[in-house]
Amino acid sequence: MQNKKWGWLELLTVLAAIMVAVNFYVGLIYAPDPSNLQTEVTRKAQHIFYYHMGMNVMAGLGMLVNFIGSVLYLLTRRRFWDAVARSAAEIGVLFGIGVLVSGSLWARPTWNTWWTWDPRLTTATITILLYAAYLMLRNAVEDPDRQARFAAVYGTFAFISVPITFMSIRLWRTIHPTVFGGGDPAAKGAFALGPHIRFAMQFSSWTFMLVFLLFLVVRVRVALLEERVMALRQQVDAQLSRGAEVDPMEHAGS
Amino acid sequence: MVYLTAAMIAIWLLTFGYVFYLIQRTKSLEQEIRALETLVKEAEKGR
Repeated sequence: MQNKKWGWLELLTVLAAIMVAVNFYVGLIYAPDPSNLQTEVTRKAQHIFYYHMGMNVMAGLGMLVNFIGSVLYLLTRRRFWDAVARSAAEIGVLFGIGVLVSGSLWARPTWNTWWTWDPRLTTATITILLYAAYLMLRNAVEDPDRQARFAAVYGTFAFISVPITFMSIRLWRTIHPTVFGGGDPAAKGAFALGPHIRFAMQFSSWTFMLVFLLFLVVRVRVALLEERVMALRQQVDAQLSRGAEVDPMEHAGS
Repeated sequence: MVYLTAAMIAIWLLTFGYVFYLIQRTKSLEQEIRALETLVKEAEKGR
């Protein structure tokens, strides 16, 4: 019987799973229904906000790590940083879509519409599309080094849209609530948070940060495995072209 | 309650769907690496 030792990744997975489970309780039961909202539907829908916020943290971190990975790739030309940037962009786009979907489900009972071209919603959509384009365009370049270089330059410039999205609720007229820095007089949608709601917000953010870290580590591992497959394929091709007697079809099904 | 339920389903389908994708992708890549390494070894033996 294989006696596999527990590493830090297994511990991180268990910790993330526990926090996700506790986050269900905190967001759905511990956090009270906001007393200032008029209807039962809007009070219940407000609980979406804890998870919407968490996904927003994940998407934002994905884009930030993509920026850091892109800059570090340009400075060092180490493929590892390209793998980090690519992995972070994928997580950013995926959970960015989650932000839009959960936000829309919150907006329908609260704003009485699924969607509005509010500055925050518009800038967030543009940002997600920019990173979706990053993932699609990098695949259009065949040479791996050119692909990584192009993606790093694109990723560095695409990040400009992230602070614009973050600041959009402070810079322009908007109906979107301002959660972070709500006390700032420049914040248009500022509101006060009670201690239970504040705790639920913070706990959800920490939980999704941990989930992000776990996903990033696993996705980078997958990206490095993909690179290993590419390298091995090139090796096999080179051996085949040198006339080594290997029949690739023999192993195709294994 | 219907919006909260829909949001919870969407959020956790996305999250666990991604976990499932990562597990499957890791398994298939590891399998491919094993197959390719066997090919490389056999090619080296054949030389």
